[in-house]
Amino acid sequence: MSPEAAAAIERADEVFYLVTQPLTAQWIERTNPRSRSLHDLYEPGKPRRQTYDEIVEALLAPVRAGRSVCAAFYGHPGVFVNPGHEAIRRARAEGYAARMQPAISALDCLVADLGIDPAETGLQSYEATDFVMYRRRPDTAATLVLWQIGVVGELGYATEPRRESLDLVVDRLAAAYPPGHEVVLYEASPFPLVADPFIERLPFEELPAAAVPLLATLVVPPARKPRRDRGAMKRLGLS
Amino acid sequence: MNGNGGDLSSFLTRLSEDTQLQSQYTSDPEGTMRSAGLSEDTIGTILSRDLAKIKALLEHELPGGGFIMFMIIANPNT
Repeated sequence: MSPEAAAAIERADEVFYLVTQPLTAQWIERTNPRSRSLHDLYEPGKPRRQTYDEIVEALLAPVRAGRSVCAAFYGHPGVFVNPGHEAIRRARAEGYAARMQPAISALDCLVADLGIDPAETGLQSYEATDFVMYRRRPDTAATLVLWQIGVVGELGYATEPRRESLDLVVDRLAAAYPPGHEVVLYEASPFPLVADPFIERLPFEELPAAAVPLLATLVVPPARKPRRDRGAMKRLGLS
Repeated sequence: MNGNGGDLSSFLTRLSEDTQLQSQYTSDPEGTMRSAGLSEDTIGTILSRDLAKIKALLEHELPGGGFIMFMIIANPNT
């Protein structure tokens, strides 16, 4: 967490949070006693859109009452956090000042832990359900990151991994990558000093049988080198 | 410290904020945890550096915090 984000939590009139680690919740509540969790807005069977709307409303109601509000989400507040963006859009539309503080997403952690430099291979990233649902075509010369691989097809909320749809992910990868291509299951460590990140390398065909953690991200390294466009290189003066 | 692993959360909180404790832990993790009064079972789990085991231990200690939600942005209606 950046010092600016910590200061925003500390000085807000009201703090709302959605986090996965009890320690994080404890820290937020200790830093600002006027904090409360938004977890209660999630319910089995409740449409996701309704939950999002309720989160946005929970954030905006005190703003309209003249209070300063800080919303803290796990990871980056703008990465896979629809209400984070929506609350800011709506607050600004209603004439209130609103700003998102950047933070550390799973992507930032895996770049560090797996030693991947997006500058070297290029980088494409999709939410795993989106990847399957829209038949995204991966560029096999670039690193592919599939978020939320532990909950493919889960459109509500989950407390356990959902592995039954991983066959579909394998089918999509098989259409693009050579047999046996190695992929990496990854979960960042929230306590890097005491716990290692979860890193498991395996051929993509073995995904359905793997112990995919609930919060895992899948990394598919490039399967080939990119092809040079000699015409473009010539125009750029690189040949 | 009650010695039964119930203080892991406060130990980890202190560790995340106290740079001196961090240096101490880096050079002697076992001794630092023993001085903090953590139980042998807890020390064993932490020394494994196994993320799933450490998270399970914390969730056991702070029940109710393991709820996970997803902000999935894929929308089947679009």
